[in-house]
Amino acid sequence: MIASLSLILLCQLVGEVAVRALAVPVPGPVVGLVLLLLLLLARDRFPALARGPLGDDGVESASRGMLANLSLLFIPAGVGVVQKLDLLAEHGIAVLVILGVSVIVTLLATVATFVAASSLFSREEERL
Amino acid sequence: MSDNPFSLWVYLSQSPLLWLTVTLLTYAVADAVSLKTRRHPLANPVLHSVWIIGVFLLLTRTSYTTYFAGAQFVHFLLGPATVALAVPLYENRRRVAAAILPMLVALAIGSLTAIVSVVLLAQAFGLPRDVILSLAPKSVTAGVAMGISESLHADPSLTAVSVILTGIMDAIIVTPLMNFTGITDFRARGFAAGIRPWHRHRARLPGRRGRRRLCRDRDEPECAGHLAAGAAGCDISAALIPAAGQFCAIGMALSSKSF
Repeated sequence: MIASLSLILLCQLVGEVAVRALAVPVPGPVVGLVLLLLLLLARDRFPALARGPLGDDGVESASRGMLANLSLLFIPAGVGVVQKLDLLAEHGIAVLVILGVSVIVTLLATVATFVAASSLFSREEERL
Repeated sequence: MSDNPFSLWVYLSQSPLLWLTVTLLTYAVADAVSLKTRRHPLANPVLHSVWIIGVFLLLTRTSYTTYFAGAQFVHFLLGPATVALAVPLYENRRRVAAAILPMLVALAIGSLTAIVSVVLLAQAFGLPRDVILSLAPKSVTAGVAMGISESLHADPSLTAVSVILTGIMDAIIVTPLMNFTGITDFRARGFAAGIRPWHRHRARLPGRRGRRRLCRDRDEPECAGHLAAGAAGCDISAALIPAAGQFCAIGMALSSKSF
């Protein structure tokens, strides 16, 4: 458990350091995500890596536990709107309308693209 | 104990313990209610926790800074949780590899549509610049969206709320909208919902005697993927169709990667 959490924190730490050292506009945890994914993929190729947090479902179960309660983690930031009540009173309705319209447009665009692209790519595969 | 109950409050209200407890307790209750309503989108536990805690802070005249001194311990975990998204992505690597090209194309178009539509609409409504910037990253994982918001010098708290609201609207809209358009590719539906991540889904598995049951135990192998996907943000259809649920998780992990 502790070793698994350490591995996750270590990935994030390396990510944060890399992002700052290279001054790239990517959040550090996202680099950490890629690192952890690469580690897991490397473990498939090199069984010697399957020890400690990488062995016996260690880092996997720690991650699942954290993700099962992901929504809790947004609350402290969300409560920050108490500082913006004047802004909400002024623009609240507009923000709701904007988000609603944008949700519909984005869903349609994404799903249409996915369907179009997957039929396009599968047709190409058939031709090969 | 002090003679003056007020001095106890003064002490407690300044300590992290009280606000950490308030955050966890409110969420635990809101989450239980959400489970009772079988994860109805309008019973969203984050939405209700946020306003309940907000009202409590206003009533007790507590500043957000004081509250955050306690709640920061929860807030900190957003970073590690983002790293942890590597696990559902890894567990679905075969599905990801099988559909990687359509996913990347849909991801690019979807993210672009989300950002452009919200910025254009916000400009049409004449919203101030800092509000527009706070809304722009709303379709990314909240943790990442707040990071982007910060680097744009916008307001992360407004971004967090817009991500949450987007997730709720998504959950309400996606099933009727997709049925209306007649799209039945559940990989596509799950993926589209995953791009606007967030909200807890209703993961259901075939139960005994063919009845569906809520997925609660994350140790069950079938549930693990569902719960990961649920954290990512899936709609009812996604939860009912395992493939869509998997694509939700992938959509979320990838959409956070796209920034």
